[in-house]
Order: sequence, then C-alpha cells, then structure tokens
Amino acid sequence: MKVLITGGAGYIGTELTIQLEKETNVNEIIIYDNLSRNNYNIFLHSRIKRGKVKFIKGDILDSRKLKEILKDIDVVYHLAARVTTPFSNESPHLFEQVNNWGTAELVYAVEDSNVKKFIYVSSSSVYGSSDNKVDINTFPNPETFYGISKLQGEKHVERLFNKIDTYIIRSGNVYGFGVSMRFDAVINKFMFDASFTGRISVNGNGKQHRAFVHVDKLVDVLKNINLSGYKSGIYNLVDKNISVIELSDLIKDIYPDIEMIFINQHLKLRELIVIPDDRLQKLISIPEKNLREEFEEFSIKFHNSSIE
Amino acid sequence: MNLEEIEYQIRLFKSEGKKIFATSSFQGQSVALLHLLNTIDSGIPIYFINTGFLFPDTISYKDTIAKLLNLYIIEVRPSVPKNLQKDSSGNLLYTSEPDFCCHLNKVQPLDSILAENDIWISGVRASQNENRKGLNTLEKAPHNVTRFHPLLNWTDKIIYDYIKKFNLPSHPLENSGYISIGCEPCTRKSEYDIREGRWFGLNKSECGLHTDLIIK
Repeated sequence: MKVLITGGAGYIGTELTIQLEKETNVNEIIIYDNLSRNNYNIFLHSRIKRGKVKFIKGDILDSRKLKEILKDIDVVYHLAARVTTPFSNESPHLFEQVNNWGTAELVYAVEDSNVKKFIYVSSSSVYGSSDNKVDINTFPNPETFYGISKLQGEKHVERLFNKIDTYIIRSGNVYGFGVSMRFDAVINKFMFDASFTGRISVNGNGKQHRAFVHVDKLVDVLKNINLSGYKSGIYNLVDKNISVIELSDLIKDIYPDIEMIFINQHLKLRELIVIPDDRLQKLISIPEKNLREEFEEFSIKFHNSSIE
Repeated sequence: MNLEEIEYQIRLFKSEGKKIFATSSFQGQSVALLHLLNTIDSGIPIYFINTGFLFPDTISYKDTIAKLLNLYIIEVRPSVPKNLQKDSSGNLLYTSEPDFCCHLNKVQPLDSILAENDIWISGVRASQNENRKGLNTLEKAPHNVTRFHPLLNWTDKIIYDYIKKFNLPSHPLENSGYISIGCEPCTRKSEYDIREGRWFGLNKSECGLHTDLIIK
C-alpha cells in the first residue's frame, strides 16, 4: 500500500508518518508539504529510517505535481491546511486559498487517479460555538475564517463519498507531545509555559469549554480507519471536553509554582462542547489515560528533552 | 429559433461535414440546451470548463445531468496550476485581477478546443446582459470557428417552460437564492442585492468566452 500525506511534515503528519512507517502493509509513504511553517523537525528528530518515506516539497495548489504524485497512490491523508493562529492578522483569503481551493485541487486530482481511500482531517471549528453540546447531527455553523474554510473543504471532499472510501474527520483541538508539535494551541502552549516560563496566560474568564483530542489518539484513529471497513461519511473525533480554567488548574497541580495571568478576564469567550462519536472511539487501540496522566507524561518529556 | 429551426441548422452543419461541439457551465438554465442538443444529436461533445473555482454543487449537478441525459461530456481544466495563479501579494488572482483569472481558467482552456473544431454551440441569450443583446445567432470566433447561439432569443419564460415540460432537475443552489452561478469567489447571492449575481461591484459582466473569443 502506498500512502500520500499532505502536510506530512506538520504536527499530526509527522506523528502519522512515524506510526505508518512501522506498518508492514505500508510499502511507501510520500510526505507532501511546502514547509510553510519552517518546521524541519521531521527531518531532524523523527528517527524515521531511510527507505519507506519520501519527501516531496510542493504546494497543495500545484495540481500538475499532485496529479503526477497520485499515479501510484492507494491512500491519501489530507492534512495540509492553513491553521488558526490566535490573534494574528493573517488575511482570511489565505485560509480560503489553502483549505478550500487547495482541497478542491487535491480532490480533482484524486478523481483522476486510482486512489482507493481518502481521509480528510477537518475540525470541530466547523460547529462554531454553541451553548448546547454538539454532535455529528448538529448543523455546522462556523464562526472563524478557519472554520469556514475547513467546511468549504469538506464540501469538495464529500463529492468523493460515492466514488471511493472517504472519511471526513472533524477533530477537536489537538494536543500532546510530538516531534513537530505546535505551540499555538492552548494545551501545548500552557505546557510549554508551565515547563519553561513559569507563567501561563489565560484569555477571557477561562470558563470557555473546548473539545480536545490527544495527537496519539488522532493518529491511531487515522491509521485504523483506513482498514476499518467503515462507510464513507463525516465523523467527529473528540476525546475530552474541558474548560480552559480547569486545564490551567490541572497544570498548576503538576507545576505548583507557576502563575496564571488572566488577559481580558471580563470576557466570556465562545463555548464548544462536542459529544464524542462512538464510531471513532471504537477505533482507538492505545491505552486510555486521563488528562492528568497525559499531562504528567508531557511534562516528563519536556523535562528529559530540554533545558530547565 | 424554434426547435425545428435549431435542428435544421445542426443537420446542415453536419451535412457540410463540420465538426461540432458545445460548451456548458452547468448553471440551472444550461439544462435546456443540453437536453435539446441531446435530443437532436447525442454525439455532440459537451465541453465543461472546470475552472477549479466552481461550487462543489455545480460539479455534482453536472454529474447528475450527465447521468440522467447520458451526455457525452469532456471536462477541460486550466493548464496553469493555481499555485502559479497568484498576484504580487500572494493572493489568488480573483482577489485583484479577475479578468486575468477568467482568462487563465476559462478563455485559455477553450482556445485549444476551438482550434480542433468548426462549430461552437453556446447557450447565450440576449436577455442576459448588454453584451449578449448585441450578438447574432451566428458569429465568427478565432481559428475559423463559427459560433452558433440557438437560444439567443429565448426568454426566461421559454427556458422555464422547457425545463418544466421535460421535468429537468434544477441546480441545487437555485433554491438557495443564487440566480447566476459561476465561480464561487465571483458569485453573489441575489438576496444581498437585486443587481447581477456575478462580479458584483465591478463593471465586468462577462468572463471573456463571449467577448474575447468572438470576432466582430
């Protein structure tokens, strides 16, 4: 089986590559990435052996190159995306360019290929916010440019539903230690600051809930859904729903000396709780851990890997 | 032209040994021409220019109609990849140079098709805009091609009646407030404004297929 991972050098892509490389039924993995975040960690620290994994630097809008690469590919994981960077002034067009039109170009190229499975990592942000818990039957109502563009991307992918096995996975906020990890998502940022700066910043009053999933679980599901025999469709992948202040309290338990600084604490920020989707929960094969265990593991990895 | 006149003209082209093709954007009203042509001669290829910026709904609609009418559709895509279709700010051309965007994604892909054919059938109608009001049923196009506009004088009502008579499916976005459906970035819902649903705010009213690819 030959696999293409768009955005394969990113946070999730790197962990997925590491796991798929170990699979005996995977003969070749092509990482397709434009390295737009200047993150080279997969090349430096992933410990992937030479042989199975090939890197191709390319743009998701480059239909000519995509068509060429897809010739012998069996499974496509589409992870390439312009992601949210909180409080940045990035143009909304860039989200649309990559997440909407980039996905469209990839889908067109897949339609012209012999690809048998397509797995698209979408986001819980397509639901926007809600005072009620949302589930797979909730009508999407994105409120951010990122969420809007991910939903537009889904619409292109949906066209593949009746052609090949196609899975759209709306992932919660991803966290956890990883080779190419990002620090712009709340948990990873909190853990970094708790480990190295001693002070974490909480925006708003902290009571906002968010839906989270550990990167190892996401990767596990991505790996397992490929052989699941599941029907094409849209799935939610969320593991834990927790408020930001609960997170920060838990981190303070692990790092008792840290301080918390509240910014704009008069603000009540948007709320999102996603009910876990049993269909994907069944595909998780790694041992269950609670958040404290995960955070303790996280802190040990930071402790062992770096300066104080 | 009525149905008999259209059929006569197409048969005449065929008897002269002309190579005929049609284009369709698969908007809601396109289905009338597609059905009509299919009734007269199902061998006429229908070229569908997929700019890459179409609504996914349009592609699905195309697939539905193609299956329903058993159409012979050839999809044409731009040869310039989208990563090379950005302006100096790194944004896609529709954000600053929509004419050039249309040129690369619609006009240029069709040019090579013209070179291989003699007759181009297009469903343009005089009532659609000022430019189309000035067109004739037969016009000249580049590469010695003759443009044939069989529906030029068909009104909205004639189209509507035709679609109803043959119970043809409508474009899924028509019920969501879209009147004229083209590329997503340059299409606007009519509920926002009663003006045209395409290139809102610009003087532009044509993509170039019916201005650049015509010799007056």
